[in-house]
Amino acid sequence: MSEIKTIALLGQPNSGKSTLFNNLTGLHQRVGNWPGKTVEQAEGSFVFDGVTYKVVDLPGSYGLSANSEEEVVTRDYIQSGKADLVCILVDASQLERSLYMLADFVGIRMPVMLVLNMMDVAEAAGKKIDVSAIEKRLGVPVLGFSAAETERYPEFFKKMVSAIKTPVCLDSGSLREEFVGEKSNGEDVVSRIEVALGDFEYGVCEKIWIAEKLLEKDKLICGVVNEMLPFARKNAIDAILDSEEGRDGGILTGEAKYRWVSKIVRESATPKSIEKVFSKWDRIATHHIKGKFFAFGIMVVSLVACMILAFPGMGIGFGMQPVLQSLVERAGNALGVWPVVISFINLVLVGGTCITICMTSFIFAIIFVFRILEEIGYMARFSYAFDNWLSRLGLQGKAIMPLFSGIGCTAGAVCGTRVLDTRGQRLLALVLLWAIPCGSKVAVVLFLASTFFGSAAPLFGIGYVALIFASFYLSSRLFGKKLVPQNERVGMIMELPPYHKPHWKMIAAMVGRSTWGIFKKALKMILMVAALFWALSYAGDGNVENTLLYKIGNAIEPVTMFFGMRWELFVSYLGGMFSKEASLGIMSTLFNHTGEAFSLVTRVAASENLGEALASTITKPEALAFLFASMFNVPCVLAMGTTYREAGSFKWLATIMGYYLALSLGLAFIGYHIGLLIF
Amino acid sequence: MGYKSFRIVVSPFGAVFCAGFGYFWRMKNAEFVDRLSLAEMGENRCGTVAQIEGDSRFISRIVSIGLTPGSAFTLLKNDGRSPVLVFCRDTVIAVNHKESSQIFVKVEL
Repeated sequence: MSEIKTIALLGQPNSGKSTLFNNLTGLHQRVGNWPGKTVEQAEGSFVFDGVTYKVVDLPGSYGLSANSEEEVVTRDYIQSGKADLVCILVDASQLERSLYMLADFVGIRMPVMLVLNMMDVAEAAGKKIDVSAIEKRLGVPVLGFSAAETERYPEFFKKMVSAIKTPVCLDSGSLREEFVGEKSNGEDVVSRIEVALGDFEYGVCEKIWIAEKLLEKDKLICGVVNEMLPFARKNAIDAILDSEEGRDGGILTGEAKYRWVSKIVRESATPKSIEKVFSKWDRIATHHIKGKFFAFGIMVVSLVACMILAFPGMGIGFGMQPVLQSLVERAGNALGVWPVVISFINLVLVGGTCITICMTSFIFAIIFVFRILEEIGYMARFSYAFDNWLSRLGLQGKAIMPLFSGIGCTAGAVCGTRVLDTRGQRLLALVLLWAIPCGSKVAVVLFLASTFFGSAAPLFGIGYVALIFASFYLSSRLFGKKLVPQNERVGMIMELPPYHKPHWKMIAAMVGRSTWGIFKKALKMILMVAALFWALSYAGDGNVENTLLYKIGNAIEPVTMFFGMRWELFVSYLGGMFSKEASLGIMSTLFNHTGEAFSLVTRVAASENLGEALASTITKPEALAFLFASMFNVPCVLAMGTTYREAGSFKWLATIMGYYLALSLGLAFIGYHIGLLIF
Repeated sequence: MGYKSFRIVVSPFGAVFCAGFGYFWRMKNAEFVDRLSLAEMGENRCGTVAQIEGDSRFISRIVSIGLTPGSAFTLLKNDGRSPVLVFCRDTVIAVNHKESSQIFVKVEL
C-alpha cells in the first residue's frame, strides 16, 4: 500500500485554482457534494514518485470569514486538519490584494505553501517580484508559478514534496506586531482578548486568530466561544468587543492584515497604469446600455461559434448512422444472423452511439467557448452588465450566458452553469434552463402548432415565450428561496479580472478531458435507455400491436387521457424525454404507418405527410394538450445526464424532472379541458 | 399705510430670513453635506476611503476584496445606475450602487 498525502488548494476567485487542480489531477477527479451541504466538492488525485497525492479543491472565497456556505465549508475543512499541506494560491499580478487570504490564514497551525500564480502576467505587466525575499520573510515555502504553463510543473512538484517533508506553519508574530502597533505590549485589543480567552483551545487555530474572528463578529466563532467559555471570561470579552475599538473590529483587523501584506510586497510593488487595466474597450463593456448590447453581440457570436464547432461532430454522427446500419444489415444477412440481433445492433448500439456523438459535439462546443470567455476574463463583465436583471431571479449576472446558450442545446448549456459561483445558483440556473427550448424543441413545437392551428401558429409562439417567462417566475418563487437564501442575495461586490490571453494548449486539454468524460457517461446512459426502449418496442413481425409498449400504452390510456393524451401521443411524449427527434420519429411510426420499426434512434424530419396523418387522426383538444406537454417536456436524455453531473445528486435531478413533468402534464390537462370547451 | 408699501418694507426682511434659515439648515446638516460617499463621487477622480459603514458581513466582504479605510483608489465608473467601479490595489472592483453609498471617501482635489 503506497503512501497517501492530502493537499488542499485554497485561493480567491480568479486565482487560477481550478487550472492548477485540473492540470494536477487530469482525468482522476470526482465532483460531489460536501456531506450535508449544497456545496460542490471537487477531489482528485495524482501519483508522483510513488506517492499518491489527494487534491482537495476548496471553494473559492476572498477570505476565511464564515459569510456563506462555501466559506464555512472551506474553513471547516482547514480546521479539520485533514490536509498534509494547504497550498494557498494568490494572483501575482494583484499581489497586495490577493495576499489578504494568506494574512487571514495567519494563526492557523497548518503546514502551508504559498503559490504566486500568474507570474507570467505579472512579468508582462512589468512587475518584478522577489520570490526568495518573500519566502525569507514569511518562513514558509513560496513558489513563483504559472498554472497554465504545463512545462513549469516540475518546479511545483519539487517544492510541494519538500513542503510536505518539512512542514512549516506561518508564524503569527509579525501579524501581532501590526495589532500592537504603537501601543505598549499587551494593551491592544487583540492581546486583551487573548488574555481573556485564557486557556481556551480550538483545534489548529491560535488564540490570535480566534481574537481576530471575534473582532470581525464571525458568527461561528462567537457561537463556539459563547458555548465553551465560563461566564466571567465571556463577559470580559464582550466588554472588550463593546469598547470603542472593539466595535469597529472588522475594520481594525482588516487594516492590520493589509499593513502586514504591504510590508511583504513593498519591495516588489510597481503599480500598473490605469489605462492598461481599464481600457476604452472596458468603458464600453461596462456601459449601462452599450455594455448590454455589446454583451448580446458576444452572446450571439458565441452561439454561432458553438454551432460551427459542433458541426463536424453532428455531421459525423448523422452521416455515419445510415451507412453503418446498412452495413450491419448486409453483413448480418450474409452471415445469417437472427434479425433480432441485427435490430438490436442497429437500433441500440449503432443508433445510440451516433446520437451520442451528435449530442456531445454541441456540449464540446459550449464547454470550449465558455472556457475561452472565462479565461479571457469576459465572463465577469457579463456579471457586471446583467446584475440588475438577473438578481431579481436570485442569480448572478453571468447566468445570462448559460441561459442564452440553452437556445442552442440544453445539455451543453447545463454544463455551462459551472461558471456560476455557488451551488445554489447553479441549481437555480439548472431549473430555469430546462424551460428554455433548444433548437429541436422549438422545431417540434412550431411543427405541431402549424399542423393543427395553421395561421394561429404565431400566436402560440408568442404564448410560448410568455409561458417561459411565467415559468421563470414560478421556478424562482418555488426554488429560489431555498437555493439562494435571502441573506446571500447581497449586492454585487466583485473583482473584474484583467483580460488575459487564453492558453490554448491548456484549454484544449481541459475541454478534451471533460468532453471525453461526458461522452463516456452519456454513451452508457443512452445505450441503456435505447436498449430498454428497444426491448419494449421490439416485435418480431414488425406489427406495432405485438409490442410490449402497445400493451402497456393501452393499459394506461385511461389515465393518460385524463391529460388529453391517447397512448400514441403519450409514448411520443415519453420519447421526447429521450430526444425531440425521437418524439417525431415515434409519431411518424405510429400515425404515418411508414412500416418502420419504431425506435428512439430513427430520426425523421417533420414532414408534410406526418402533418396530414396527425391532423386527420387527432382532435384539436388533444393537439392542444400535446402541444403544451411538449413545450415543458423534459429536454432530453443527455440534458438529464449533464444535469445529474452538475447537480451532483440524484435527488435534485429527480426534483427537477418531477417539477417539469408536473408542469407539462398540468398544462396539458388545462389545455385539453379548455380545448374541450372551445372546439 | 397701504398694503403695497407694507410689502415693500417687509419683503427684504423676508428674503434675509429665508437666506438665514437656509444657512442655518445647511450648518445643521453640515456633517452630512461634507461627507461624500462613493456613490456620489465623480468619475476619474482619485480619493481615499475614509469610513465604511454597515453590518459585519458587509464589512468583511468589502475588506476582504481590498477596500479598507486609508486605501487610495481611482473611481473608474459611476453612472448612477450600474455598480460603481473603483481601481484599488491593482484591481478593478465593482460595488453595487446601493452598497457603495455606505462607503465614505475623501476626494483629492
